Amino acid sequence: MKKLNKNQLGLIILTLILGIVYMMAGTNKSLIPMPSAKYTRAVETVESKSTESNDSAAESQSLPEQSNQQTADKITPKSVSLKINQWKTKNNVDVYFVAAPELPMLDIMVTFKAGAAMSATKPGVAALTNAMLNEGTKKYDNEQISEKLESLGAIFGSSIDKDKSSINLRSLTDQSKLAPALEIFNDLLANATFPQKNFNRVKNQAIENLTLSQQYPEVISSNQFYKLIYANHPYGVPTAGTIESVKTIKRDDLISFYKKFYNYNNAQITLVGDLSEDKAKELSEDIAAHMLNGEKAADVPEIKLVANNNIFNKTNNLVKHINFPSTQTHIIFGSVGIKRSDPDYFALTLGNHILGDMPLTSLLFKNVRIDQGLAYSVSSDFIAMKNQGPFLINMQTRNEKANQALDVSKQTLTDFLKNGPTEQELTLAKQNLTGQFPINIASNSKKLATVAAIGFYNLPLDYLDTYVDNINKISQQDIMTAFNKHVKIDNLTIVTVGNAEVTRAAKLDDKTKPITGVDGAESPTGITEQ
Amino acid sequence: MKIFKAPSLLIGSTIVSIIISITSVNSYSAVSPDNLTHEKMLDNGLKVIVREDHRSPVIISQIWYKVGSSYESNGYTGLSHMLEHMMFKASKNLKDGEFTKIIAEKGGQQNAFTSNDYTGYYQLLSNVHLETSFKLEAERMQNLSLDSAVLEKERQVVIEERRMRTDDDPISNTYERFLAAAHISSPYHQPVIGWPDDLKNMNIKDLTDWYNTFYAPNNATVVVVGDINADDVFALANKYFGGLQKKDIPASKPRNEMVPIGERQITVNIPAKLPYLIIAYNVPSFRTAENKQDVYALEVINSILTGGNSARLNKKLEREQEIVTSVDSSYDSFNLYDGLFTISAIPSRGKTIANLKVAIIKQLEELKSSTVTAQELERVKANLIAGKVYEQDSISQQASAIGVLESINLSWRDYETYIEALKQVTPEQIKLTAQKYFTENRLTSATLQPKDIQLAKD
Repeated sequence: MKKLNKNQLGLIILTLILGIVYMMAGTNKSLIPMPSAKYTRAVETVESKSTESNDSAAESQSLPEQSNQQTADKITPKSVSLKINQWKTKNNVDVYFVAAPELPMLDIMVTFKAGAAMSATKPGVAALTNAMLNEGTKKYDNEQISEKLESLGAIFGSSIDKDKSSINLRSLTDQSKLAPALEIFNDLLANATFPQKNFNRVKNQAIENLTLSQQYPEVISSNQFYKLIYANHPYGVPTAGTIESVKTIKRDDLISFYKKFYNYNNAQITLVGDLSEDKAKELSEDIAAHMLNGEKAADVPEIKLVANNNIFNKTNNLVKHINFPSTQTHIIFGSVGIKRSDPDYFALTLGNHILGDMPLTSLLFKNVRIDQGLAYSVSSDFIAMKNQGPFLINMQTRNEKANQALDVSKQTLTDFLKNGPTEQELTLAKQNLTGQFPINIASNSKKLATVAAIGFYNLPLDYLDTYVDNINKISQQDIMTAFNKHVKIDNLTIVTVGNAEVTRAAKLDDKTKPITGVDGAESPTGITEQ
Repeated sequence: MKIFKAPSLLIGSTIVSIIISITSVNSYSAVSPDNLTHEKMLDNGLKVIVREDHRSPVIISQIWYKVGSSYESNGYTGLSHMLEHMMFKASKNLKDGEFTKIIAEKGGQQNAFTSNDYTGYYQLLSNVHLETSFKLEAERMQNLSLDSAVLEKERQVVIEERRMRTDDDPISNTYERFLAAAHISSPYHQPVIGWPDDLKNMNIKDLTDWYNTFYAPNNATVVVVGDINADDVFALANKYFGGLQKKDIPASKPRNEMVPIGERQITVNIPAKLPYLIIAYNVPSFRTAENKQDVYALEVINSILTGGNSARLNKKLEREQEIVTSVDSSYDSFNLYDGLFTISAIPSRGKTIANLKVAIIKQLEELKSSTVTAQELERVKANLIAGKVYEQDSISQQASAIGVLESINLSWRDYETYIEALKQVTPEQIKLTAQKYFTENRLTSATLQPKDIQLAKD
């Protein structure tokens, strides 16, 4: 986290809620025109969860006729597919390639099973290692790396979440640009040296950035939520670490981590761009040949869910409030959810789309924002990861209305668990999810993220081709069964961050039941509601 | 806003010649030499611009209205943004929620944005659904219902938005105060979301008047980018928008920035964890500059200062001197009125804001006294050239480049010439521009002084 401007910080704040941290080690301020909107949107942009669960759907020639489809519009979009070529290099690295000949550019991503969960005993090590790859190699110092890459118009980046880390390169395919850019990229892969002076600086910056993040109630609430639902499991540790933990990190910790995890047995390569398959094969061999030898990382420990689907073996809701001098209370509640490989993935994704994911039309959006004006942004998420990622609902509302917002959203969830979606809600969600498919793979960047995720989560190569069918065949009952299996209304962890004094002083309307958590008491024994 | 990239003119002509066919007195159509960007104006003044990009069978369909916070006056700030929210509600032929439902059914991604100088609405859709987009946008352009009970709810939503974006975010909060100090007579003085009292007190008549005044075909630009044929787009535009009535849009009274005559300094004392510094110089924008060379030079200076890891401020302030944890600069040249050249930074631990300000100004003094290196300019140029290709990976970005320019009464064609002009900026021009604009009289600085963040333990 070396260079963090406000926009990046905003991005980090939003993605922290989803348990992902993006740290752009190389930030070309590319000359991208965006509307200079200081205030945007009727709906807050939900940051792409592409590294966790990119729901790109394949479109079949025509949408399958279903008895519950109501659309009178017979126009069917053109069939869209993504041809993913896959092979292994000589040293057994999985490579995924999508040809995109229309633009003379190439995106390369090397993904490692080296996420923050791999350094849970020393929180922050994985993140700092990932952030420092371009801080110097045996051949080049960090100034030379940046100058060379930028003089080629190449963009280097890195990112990390709890499961994985990656480094990527965007370059023109013109050989006079690509070849030198690739030389540097390959050098970083295997020869990063983490110079002491650079390490000292990056460590200081990381501590300052963590300090800064403590002025954001959404970060505080998210960190607390993960800590509570995961207890001692590695997923409970913030991806960027904590101020205390980062202070103890030494340069040797990064070097050890790098040697242990940044090797070709622990990696995959994704390529999207203007290359022939032969050239892509050649390129992938070149990259893989430069990588270090080492072992594939062990899996993150299984999360043992005990009675009532909870890591704690508790049978009541856990409620935690943290006092903070904001005008809003940030609310996040939920529990441990599912692995990416869970057979209930599609039912839960579709159900969650209805509950709180579809912008402007989800149940939570309607109940919390449209009907009651309680929040600008409210959403629900099943973040499916290598191991069980969280299920969570989050929103922010003025302190006076914290109880009401929590009450309304819990009621929405309760009703959804009890009744499931209506036929109309189901149809709309299916149309929306499947209809979006071509948009979600339209650009090279989106293709890169989608295919890298398919590779990392071991999804079948025809995942995109079967997505529409997998979504369309889900019934109301499927959703209810899956949701009730994985979400227990009496087994939630509720975190609130805001000014409890104001909440307490506010008059409750007749319908709202007080939630003790927001009143300020830390109550592990449950809440007083039916 | 960062430097724009041109819509692709891969066939490398630097002189844009335009084929114009006049089909009627008020309408015209034109196409770029690479035959990819097409422009047409309907009889009622609606401008429609299409850029064909056949890589994937998707489109982005945007409509940009020439109204934003810079059109608003004190007591009525936030109207454009609130109206943007209300545009998603009921209209004559659509029940509440129907608009968003129809787009959602089509698998569309939809949203909107409000800025100082424009308000925009868009949908990302499969290319077969353009008709739906046009049908719905034409409907809400002139048939919006605007109900006061609905306003009451949406008012609360926008106030929550303000709390989330500004009141509870120390950096944004500081930035809002900073803008009010840096802009004195120009309407960029006021926030897009509006001042709190204005949000609380706006009524349905204010919004209705605003809507009736500015939402008209002759005050709008439709931009479509993607896998679609320009003629089909124009035909659909004519079908759905053609029958809408043009309106007399009141001419905006000029609200230019007065010539700055002295440094401004403000402090913001609020709960926060880290201090923050924003400094800016009042500078012309592309539209207002007497000499466009100044604008090009400012753009290049922006890139030289923070346009990449190897840029000056990152290299010197962040890495060599370790005086900042992070630093950024920006220059927004595509505005209606004068803009700002802004530098913001978080000091490193142990460094004061005063230290930081001195260090930044020292860097700017260097730009005035010595010449930038050929290598630095080469990097800027390489970034521009590569960026032109990368930008084509996003239909949204291409569309926005067109929409922004058109909304401030420039032409999308200006983009290409703009980019080419950036490549021509010389070290001498940079020096002269720095001397001209980085002066004390033009300077505003804002300091966030953190107050303790703890609340009394409950």
